[in-house]
Amino acid sequence: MPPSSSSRSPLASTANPSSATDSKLQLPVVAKPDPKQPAVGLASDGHLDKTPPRKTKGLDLVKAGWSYNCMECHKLFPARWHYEGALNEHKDITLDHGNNRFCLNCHHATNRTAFVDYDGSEIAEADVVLLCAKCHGTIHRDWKAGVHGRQNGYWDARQGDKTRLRCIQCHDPHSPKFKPIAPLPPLKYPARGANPPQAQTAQHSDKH
Amino acid sequence: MSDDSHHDVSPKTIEQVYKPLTRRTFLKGAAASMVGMAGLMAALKPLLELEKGEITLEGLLRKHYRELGPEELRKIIGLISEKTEREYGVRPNLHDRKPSEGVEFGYALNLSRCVGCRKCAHACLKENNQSRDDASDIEMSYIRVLEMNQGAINLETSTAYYNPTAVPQKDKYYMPVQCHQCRQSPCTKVCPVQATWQEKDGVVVVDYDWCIGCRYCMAACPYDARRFNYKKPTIPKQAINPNQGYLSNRIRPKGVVEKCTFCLHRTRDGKYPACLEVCPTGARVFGNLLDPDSEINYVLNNKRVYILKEDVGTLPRFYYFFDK
Amino acid sequence: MKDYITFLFRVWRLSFQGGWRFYSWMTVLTVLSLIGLRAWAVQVVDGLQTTGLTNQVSWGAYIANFTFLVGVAAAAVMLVIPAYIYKKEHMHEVVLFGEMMAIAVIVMCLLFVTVDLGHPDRFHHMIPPFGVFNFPGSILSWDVIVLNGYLLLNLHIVGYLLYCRYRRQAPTKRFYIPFVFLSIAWAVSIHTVTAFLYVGLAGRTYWHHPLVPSRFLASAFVAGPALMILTFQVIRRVTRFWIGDEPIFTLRMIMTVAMVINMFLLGCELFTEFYYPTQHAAAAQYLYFGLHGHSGLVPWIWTAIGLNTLGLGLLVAPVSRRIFGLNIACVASFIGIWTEKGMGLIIPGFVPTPLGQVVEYLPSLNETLVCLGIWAFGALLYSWMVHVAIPIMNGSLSAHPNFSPNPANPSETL
Repeated sequence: MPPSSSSRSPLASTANPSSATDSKLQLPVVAKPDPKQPAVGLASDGHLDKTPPRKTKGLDLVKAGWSYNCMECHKLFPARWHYEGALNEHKDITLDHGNNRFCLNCHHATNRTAFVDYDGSEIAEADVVLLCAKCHGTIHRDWKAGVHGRQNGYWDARQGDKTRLRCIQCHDPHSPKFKPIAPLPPLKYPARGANPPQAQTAQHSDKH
Repeated sequence: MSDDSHHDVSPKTIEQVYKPLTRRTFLKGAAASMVGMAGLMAALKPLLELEKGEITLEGLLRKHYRELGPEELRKIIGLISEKTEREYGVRPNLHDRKPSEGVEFGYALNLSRCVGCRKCAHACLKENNQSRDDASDIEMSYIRVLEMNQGAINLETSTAYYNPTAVPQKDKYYMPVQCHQCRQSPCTKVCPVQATWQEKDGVVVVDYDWCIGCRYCMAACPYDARRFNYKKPTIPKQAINPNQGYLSNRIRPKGVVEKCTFCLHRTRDGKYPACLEVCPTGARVFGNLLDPDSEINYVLNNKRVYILKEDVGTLPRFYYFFDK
Repeated sequence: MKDYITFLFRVWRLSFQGGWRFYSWMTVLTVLSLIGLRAWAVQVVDGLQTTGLTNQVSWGAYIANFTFLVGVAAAAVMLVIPAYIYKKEHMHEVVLFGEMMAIAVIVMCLLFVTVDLGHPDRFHHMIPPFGVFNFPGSILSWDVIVLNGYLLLNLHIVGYLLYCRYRRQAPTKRFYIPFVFLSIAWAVSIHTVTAFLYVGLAGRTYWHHPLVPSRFLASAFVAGPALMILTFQVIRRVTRFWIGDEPIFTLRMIMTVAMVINMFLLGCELFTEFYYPTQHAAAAQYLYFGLHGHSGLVPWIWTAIGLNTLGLGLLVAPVSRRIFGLNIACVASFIGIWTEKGMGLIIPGFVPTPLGQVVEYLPSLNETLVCLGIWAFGALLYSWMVHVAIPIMNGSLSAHPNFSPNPANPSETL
């Protein structure tokens, strides 16, 4: 996992929990079901791989019968701006968001199912793009115009709707930089071409 | 010289020509003709293996697409659908949409966002029913994704064969190239039979049943955007996309040129082209240049836009832009 | 009309009269043509995948041969100019041979274009009123017109003059002199238009410059006369028609001038491409030195330049004033120019592709057989034409066989 950008980050990477005081607390172990992803684009385009780069929880978990309600735990655990030592839960999250070093920059301090605006008011989970727009205003402006991120469906609004992917369907909010992905199979030197080059290894990105 | 016996056409020989045909000469001639005919038949024997229905009288007499009336077009679409079903096992939903009024397509590609994953090139293959030898064969894909070196826009040092474990690579950036549907397209200018032309909405199309396969357009294109069917397309039955347009992604015959049509069988219905639908980074922007509020006009008005090979003077509808 | 039918019938019969050498030569050529025809039939069925062509190099051996042969066809005019404009009497006797060669070679050109088509069954799409002809926009449509026009022009001139000779009538000047002068301009035009096919393509910097048509014509006026010098010697050896040394040495003079110009233009090209390194010279880099590890054409082009230099050296030196030296010069120049125009002009236009991809090309076996078949067919046509024309020109084959011909002056008309 990429290292934290600041030593004052409240969420350290895999450090051992201080077992002494917390061992009495047994947190419920829940198996997370695979969240159903929101539909992207048209159903008739099944032959095209329109999967967004990132799976999101969305509101489907609630429908699946699980109330993955953050407040269930966070009634007991108040949120703090700074933490000493490691956390028991959320160990899989490393905050690597540039200058955005504090959980409470995005998460509402008292209502953990919502996000927080500049003035402390709540931003609902469904309006997560407004949260990102707090700092990434120019990208939000481009996104609204349809120039950042991907649309699927109809370019012509008169003939149909378009699905616009939300920020978190491509970017992990805790580590938003796009990870390198494996490319699909490359173009090959044509079979009928003469003098095929000898070495065609994966690292052979030479000009041929 | 006239008595020189080793020169073959002697006066004696010429005399024969004036005399009437003797039976001997006639029989010799007949025997020689039979040998000749046999040779000719042996030479032409491979033609017997021509597929039935490949060359039909109807096909030879068919008019150019732009001269077809709606009834004729409907009949032809029926014939083509039948032929496709016979040869490939799938009956396509073949249609022909005319360009809409007030629409001119434009396409932009964000060079700051493309990571070179080639999903667009593969999606093009699937959407447009292109010939492939196996699932990883993107030779016929209309999109070539080039890996370029940072620091310059230099096609000479680029490569289309890159295959690292993950993209984007350090110090490289990626530029997909496909048909730019040029406003001043060299390809339409050079076609001897006008089998390729620019439609009202800007898409340069090919009438696959008119093209004679001379490949002059391929020589003329400055963007290497056209492909030729050197053989009858091979597509596995389950990979065929049945939603087909007459001028775009129907399964082509062998011996004709094909190219990107901005997926006009989708875009004339108002949908996005397939390459845009699959791009994981949203690097592609498509829309109507005549609509001032469209996404493509936002790009042209607000971003730093660049045209590939602008010095050649093609005035393309495909733009590259940078975000950061 | 009846006389004309008789004439055709006699020509038909004469086509099959000859000695054993004639029969073997024609049989060999026929067999090779049939082999080529069969290879083409395989290509019609399987598609152009039987060739070595790819999406990247989409024109190859067929168009290379076509381009070279259009030049050879144009060079027939080289005989017409001295004969009719400079009124060199000794050239008249060989003008017909040049024009017959032009006919055979133009037929070869048309065949090469036909076998290159992906859909030869749609040839009629180019011919109005069945087809849609992209004239005047497409240079290929211009080429179709000028090539067929040149063929018809030469067929008319040769046919008319031979028929008049057969009938022992003086040909009416107005039925052939204007056409002869037209053919001079037309010959230059066929090769210029063919050059413009390439020059007009702005996307390919290797072709998009004004030296291309100039070099086309200069090299054509070397290759055409070279072939004619060699075939004239064959004609004088195996037929009853004596071609003197004067036409041959007039052609030598033309060849020398044209070769000097050709090599000078080559020097201009090399300087422009290599003096200051630019990306525009990538194709020339590939051709002369290799590019990105691909250097398939390098030995060919340097051999061609070597042969052309040898040809030039021999032509300007006194050694080519003797027939043997001249023959070496002709063979060297012909092969050198064929290589340089075919492989050195067409293929590098496609390497690298406009997107910088380098894919090399070699013709496949099937492709080579088709090319061989067409060359054999051209030789067959020319041999046949010479074989039937000479008795007519000699006066042996005539409408009035009682008259004895005058061998001392074969071009004398009675």
